[in-house]
Amino acid sequence: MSADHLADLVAEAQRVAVIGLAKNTGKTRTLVALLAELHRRDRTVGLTSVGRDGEATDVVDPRITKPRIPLPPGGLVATAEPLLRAAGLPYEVVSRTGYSTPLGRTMIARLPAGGAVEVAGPSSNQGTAEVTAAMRRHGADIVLVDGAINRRAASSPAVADLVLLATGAALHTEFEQVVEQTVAAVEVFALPCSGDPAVYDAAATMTGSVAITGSGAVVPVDRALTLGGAGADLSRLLAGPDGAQHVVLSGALCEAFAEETRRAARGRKVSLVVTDSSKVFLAQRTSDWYRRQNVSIEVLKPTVLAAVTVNPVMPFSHRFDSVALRTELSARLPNLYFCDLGPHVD
Amino acid sequence: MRETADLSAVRPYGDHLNDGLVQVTFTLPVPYGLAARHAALELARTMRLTEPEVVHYQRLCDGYTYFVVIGQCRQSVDFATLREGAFDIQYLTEPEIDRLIEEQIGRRVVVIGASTGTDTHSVGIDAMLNLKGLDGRHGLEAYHGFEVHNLGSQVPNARLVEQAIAVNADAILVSQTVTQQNLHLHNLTELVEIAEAEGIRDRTLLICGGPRVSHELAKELGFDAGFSKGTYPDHVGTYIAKEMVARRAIASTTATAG
Repeated sequence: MSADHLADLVAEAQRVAVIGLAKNTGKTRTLVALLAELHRRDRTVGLTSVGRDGEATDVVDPRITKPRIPLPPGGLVATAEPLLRAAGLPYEVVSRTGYSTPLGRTMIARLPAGGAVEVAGPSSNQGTAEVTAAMRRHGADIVLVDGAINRRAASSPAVADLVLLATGAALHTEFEQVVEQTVAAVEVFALPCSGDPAVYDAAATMTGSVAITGSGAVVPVDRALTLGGAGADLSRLLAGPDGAQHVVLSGALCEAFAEETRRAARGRKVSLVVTDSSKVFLAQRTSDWYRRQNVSIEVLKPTVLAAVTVNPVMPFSHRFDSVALRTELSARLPNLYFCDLGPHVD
Repeated sequence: MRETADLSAVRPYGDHLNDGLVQVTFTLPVPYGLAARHAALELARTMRLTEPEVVHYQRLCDGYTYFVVIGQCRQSVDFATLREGAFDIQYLTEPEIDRLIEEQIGRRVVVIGASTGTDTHSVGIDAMLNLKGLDGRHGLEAYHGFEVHNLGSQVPNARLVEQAIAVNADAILVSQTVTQQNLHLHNLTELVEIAEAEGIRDRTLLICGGPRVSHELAKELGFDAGFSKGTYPDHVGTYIAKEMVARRAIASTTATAG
């Protein structure tokens, strides 16, 4: 039932990323459920992974057995050539890519009869976008991009039209912490778009990060400041009557820069604008906390988060009540669909 | 002429091809004596070693005995299929790596490294990068072909990426003691994600090393290569040089085709 509804949610999308908040939160299970449901609906599927998926046992904890990924007949896959050969299934080579991985060079193949396959496509966004477009050209109605560990880069609108998020007991041993960390992560995916046209004008022409001052002047901000870490002196940038109102970042927004901005702005309202939510790296404080301190984190392009799958079990460790977890998450994030694709074994 | 091995059924080599001779060393928590020797032979048989011999045994301390046992291993592995089915690099020596870089790249390759996050263990990264290297094999700093920047330990990921861009690095090396804790994994994935966010992911080789890093883990983390125990600087140097040459070749075919 829940897999059916997930498939409804992604039905219109062409590129769907499955992103996890940690290892063992249930990305593979989500992928397997979606593949089956899309096959039932006669949709030709393409599959790639920025990490590696479909292996028999977990790479960090070999006691954990993982679901295999059965690609439906006629499906396309981007994976490392040695893995495809090792699968022992009939395949047609669609194209070879220039992207190499620690498991071998990646290629795109069609599996006429389908079958269980290990997926390890290009690791980068550019590579993922490239194989996704190629699989679409070769007949995939929909391409699923599998994430890895807690990597969020593939959730970028440059790679995916739609994101499914996997969360669960693997995040923490305490129920409240799983809820808090999930809420904080969803807040980042749901960061608002900047409302100031000046920001988009500046972004269209900038070659690196810039600040927009109160009087509308656009000044470059050095990477040594944005990535420099704690102690970066931002007072010249932010203090005074003509201090920056917006900082438009060409790359990553790291916690230290957010923190130094908050300190230097001394309570004045500042917005930090990133290309999209995958460029935000907060570990200590939530985006909501910064907003309450008058530092508003915004994006140029929104991420569409379609649903969250919840795995209440951490194998060999602990488990929570699935209904209680989903009820609590729904109460905190009322407009989002949460589902559990169980049963889970531990 | 030297006899050539059948690569589809490779056996251990002792004195001559296919004799299957192996040596195992272990300690048993039993007192030094004749019964201990029997126990070692019995254990070797359960390891499926045929004709086992105890070539050396000695008392370690009260109640513990150390053994060196040799025996024949009848099993074989299919190296030919394995090599075809798996990712493989054949290692070059220091002069070979320097020559490859000089001839095929034509400039020094810039490598930057650090132990990142909260990790204070810089032994691994120092062994790979610093002049003295490891076990008599130079670190990359000693090579003509490499320009090396070692930032040391406890370097934040953002700062490493910032420095990598500042020195126009071709490769970023990080070492990390990976445990089952998400903390270590997440510190490694953060580096990959910041490199991606800063737009340098596809032009920089990302390499991680540590006692538990496998190729499989490196792929999940998003790195281009992962190195573990038994790695020497020339292994890392070979990978960087060969991969850069391979990528240039692909880029030039694409450019010609396009």
